[in-house]
Parts: sequence; structure tokens; C-alpha cells
Amino acid sequence: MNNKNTNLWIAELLMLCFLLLMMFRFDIFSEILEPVIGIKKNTVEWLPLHELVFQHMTIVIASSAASFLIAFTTGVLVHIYHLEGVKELLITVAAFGTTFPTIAVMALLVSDLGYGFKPVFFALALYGLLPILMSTIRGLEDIDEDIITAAKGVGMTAYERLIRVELPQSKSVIIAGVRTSVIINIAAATVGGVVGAGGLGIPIVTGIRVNDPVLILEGALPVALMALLADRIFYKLEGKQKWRIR
Amino acid sequence: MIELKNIHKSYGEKKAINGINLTFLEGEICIVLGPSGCGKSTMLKLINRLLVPDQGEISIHGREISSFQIDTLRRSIGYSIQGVGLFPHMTVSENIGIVPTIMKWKKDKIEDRVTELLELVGLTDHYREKYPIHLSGGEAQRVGVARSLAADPEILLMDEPFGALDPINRRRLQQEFLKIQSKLHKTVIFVTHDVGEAVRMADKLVLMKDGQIVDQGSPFSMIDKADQIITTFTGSNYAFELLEKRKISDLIHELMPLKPTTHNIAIHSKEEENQTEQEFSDEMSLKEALVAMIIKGSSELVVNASEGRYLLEFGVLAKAIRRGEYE
Ligand SMILES: Nc1ncnc2c1ncn2[C@@H]1O[C@H](COP(=O)(O)OP(=O)(O)O)[C@@H](O)[C@H]1O
Ligand SMILES: [Mg+2]
Repeated sequence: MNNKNTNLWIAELLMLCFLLLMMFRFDIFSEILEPVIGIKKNTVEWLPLHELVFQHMTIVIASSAASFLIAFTTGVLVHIYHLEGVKELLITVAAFGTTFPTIAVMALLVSDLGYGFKPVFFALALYGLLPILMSTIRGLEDIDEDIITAAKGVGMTAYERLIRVELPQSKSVIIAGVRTSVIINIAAATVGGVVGAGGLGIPIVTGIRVNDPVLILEGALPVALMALLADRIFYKLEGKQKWRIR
Repeated sequence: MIELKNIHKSYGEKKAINGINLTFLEGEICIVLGPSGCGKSTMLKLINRLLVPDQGEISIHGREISSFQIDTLRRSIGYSIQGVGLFPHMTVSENIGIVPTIMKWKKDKIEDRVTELLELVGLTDHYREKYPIHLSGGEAQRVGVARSLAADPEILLMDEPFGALDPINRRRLQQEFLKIQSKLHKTVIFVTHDVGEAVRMADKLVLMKDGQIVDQGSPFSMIDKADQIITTFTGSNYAFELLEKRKISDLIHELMPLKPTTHNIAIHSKEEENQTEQEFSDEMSLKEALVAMIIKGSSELVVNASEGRYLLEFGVLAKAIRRGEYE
């Protein structure tokens, strides 16, 4: 086999190192940032930054996983049972739901579920549904008709068709949807700082309150980096599909 | 045996099949010939239940096809779809082995089968791990044929399986398929709009037009009607294509024997050697023989057969097709 495997994770590794450095030694960054911005960083007592990053990741991973399970399963079921009406309805509802401001949803959820992890988890899981649902439905829908005919023609059952043909064919579209969903959630999870779920929202919210840009950046920079990293990782997962490359 | 009784099928307003009655016999290659859009693909899809007829009955060995379990039915019918239809995300070996795989054959048995089929369709083993995108049209269609043969189905439905090929590769694959068929004796329903292909391959020929059967029979028996009908809808000359179904060796008893050459009598000079009559193999088709006569500007050819040398005269060639009619 030729070993021209260009699928190296160099950029991703660099980003990860950068993120780790930020998590454990943000003081390095503060020292660079302070003279640039011209304001001295307040010393505020809270959890160390790396703990906040873990909290943030936990929120994102848990809610994205929930989004994925629900949206993917629904998309697949709607597809195999040919529920055309339900399909359109779902997309409309999900699209409409997403136009609701996050803050409003959060406020409603907090009044029901109280402060903490739960309201953020539910809000984000809800927001993450649409891109995954859409991509699952469209991905499964947009497969070349001839391929489906061939799959039926060789005698695959609906289940075999799904596993052996439809999912492999729509994999990259579905992953692209998951990627969008996760990236939205990484940014949106900062609301956790407002409702007591922790995460990188805390330095941002505190920074705004005490008017400290460096503190805001201490929350915002890792969020941005996490989003970039997630983007890269999903991009890699989508994969160079050998069968598409001439 | 496959029987179609009074089949009708419409797509919305459009009538694709309009009252078809047909019987396909075991072990025969039946070629369905007709212009694009006449309903050929639709007919094949009705047989493996990719479509359901609006009216009429289809049976295999006397059993109505709707009474079979649908996946079992399809797995027992090899289908090569129009325009190849390989799975792009599967390798050649996964494509070929797909029916055995879903029939849950053992892995090494599938591998063996794939090896066997690659050889049968004339591809080397190093194609196994390639993806369809890396194959030429001809290679892809070979893989398509191999896939349809994989689970050794009794029936093959072939929808313009060589349609994507240039004339030379097309002809080669036709010949290879005939060779395969002479070993396997499948019941083949082969759809095409290429008259030459139809004539070359048919045991039985069915002419279709506008969703109906216009005529059917052995290729030779259809010369009168077919020549007008086919020539009008394809522009190809049916009678001329028929010449390809006969070899010179089929006419051997009507050829005039010649004396054996006496090479050892004299040592020829170079010029003399060039002047000696060009000789033709008796494996040539009558079409090639006719073309050779035209090129030479002569109404005779010298044929070199294993039994000896003969003279083929134009008169004999001209009568050959009419004689085939009564066979
Ligand atoms: N899915 C479809 N929807 C509507 N019309 C169709 C469909 N498939 C085929 N047709 C029409 O039915 C007729 C027969 O088609 P087809 O069986 O594919 O013909 P052929 O294989 O002989 O070219 C054509 O007029 C074609 O346009
Ligand atoms: Mg067709």
C-alpha cells in the first residue's frame, strides 16, 4: 500500500497544545494582553481556568450527544417509514424553535428546572437538534436514485439498505450537520455562566461586570479555540473518502 | 420459465407498458430490442418487483411473483441495472460479493466466489480493492455483470449492461458473456437498443415499441417484418447485422473445395508471393466475409478451413440468411 497518508493531525495537535497552555497558564497570555489593552487584570477568585474548560466541555458534550441521539434517530425513522408529512412538520417546528432567543428559552427553563446544569443542558440540546435533523433527513433523501434502485435490486431489506448504503452515502452530510450543531453549542454554552452551570461563561460574565477585557478574553479565547478545534476534528471525521477521490 | 400475462403499467398518465404477453424459456438468452423509452427497463423492473404492474400477472415457474418474499425473490434474480449501478462506497470485491454477503455466506466462501467471478469476467485480482470511481466504463460493467452472477441466480435481468462501452469493448464483452452463458445456461432477459448487439446475442428476439410487443421469434425468422420495423426505428440494417450470426464454417458444405496449395513445388520470388491469393479463416462471420469481398472488389474469397481450402462465392453467402430462417 502507498504510505502517502496526508491525514496528519498537525494543526489539531497544535491547537490542542495551545488550548492546554491557555487552560493551565493563562497568566502568560494575561501578561501579553494587559499592556496591549492597557488595563490591569482584576484578581477574582473562582475555579481555576482548566476546571471551567472541563465544565464547559461537559455541558457541550452532554447536550450535543443528546441532540445527536434524538435528531439522528428521528431523522432515520422518518426516512425509513417514509413519513413525508412528519418530515416537513419536524423541520418547520425545529426551525421555528431555533429562532427563539436562547436567553428567553433559558429564562423559561430556569423557572422550571432551577439554576445549574439542567436548564443549560436542555436549552443547548434543543438548539442542537435542527442542524442534525436537517442534515440527517436531507442526507438520506439526496442519495442518487440509481444507487437505491441497485440496493433494492440486489435484494437488500430496508434495514440492510440503511446500514450498507444509505448511511455510508450520507455520512459526510450528517457529520457536517453535527459539526454545525456542536460549534453552535460551544458558543451558546457560555450562557451557563449566567444560570450557575459554570463553564467559560463565568469569566466572561464577571469580566463584563467588573469591566475587565482581559478577564472577558480569558473566557472567550478558550471558547473560540474549542470551536476551531471542534471544527477541525469533525472536518477530519468527515474524512477523505477514498471512494470519492479520483 | 417466466411468464408475463397481459401486463399494463403507467407512470401517472404515461403508459409505459401496454398489454404485454411474453414467455421466457429456461436457459435461453432472450433479447428485448426497442428504441429508448419503449418500456424495456420498466418491464425488467416489473419482473424483480421494483415496480408493481397496474394489471396482469407475472409468474416464475408457474408461481405468481407477488407470492414470493420480496428480498428472496430479488436475491434469486441477478440484476444488472442500466448505467452500471455499482455502489460507489464499496470496493470491487465488496460490490461483487454483496448478494452473498446479505445472504450471510461465510467470509472465505465469499472471497473465493469473488476471485472466481473476477476471473470469469476477465479482471485480474488486483482490481479487488479498487473503488468504482477508479474503473473504466468497461471494467465497471464487467464488475456489474460479476455482481449479478454472484449468488448463482437462475435468472439474469440485464438492462443495457454494455451500454457505456465503445463498440470494440462492447463486442468483446458480448463475446465473453456468450462464452459464460454457454457454460452456465442461465435464463437471461437482456435489454438493448443496439441492433447489432441484439442479433449477435439472441437465442430469441423480442421487438418492442411504445410499450407493446411488435414481434418475437428467432432472429432469422424475423427477417421480413424486422427489417422494415427495426430499420425504421433504429436506422440500423437488420439483415446486414444478421450476417454476423453466421460463420463461414456454417456454410462449409456449400463451398467449393480447392486443391491444396503446393508450396514445395517452386521457390517463389517476392513478387509472386504477394500475388498469391489472400486466404480467410472459416471462423470469420459472414458480415466480415461480405466486407472483405467488397474491399477486394471480388465476389469470391479463398477460405482456409481445417478440412482444407475452399472457395466462398457471393451467391452462397447471399442465400445463407434465408436458409437460417428454417433452422
Ligand atoms: N419514474 C418514472 N416516472 C415517469 N415516467 C417514467 C419513469 N420511468 C420511465 N418513465 C417513462 O416511461 C417510458 C418507458 O421508460 P423505460 O422503461 O425506462 O424505457 P426504456 O428502458 O425502453 O428506455 C418512457 O417514456 C419514460 O419516459
Ligand atoms: Mg431503459
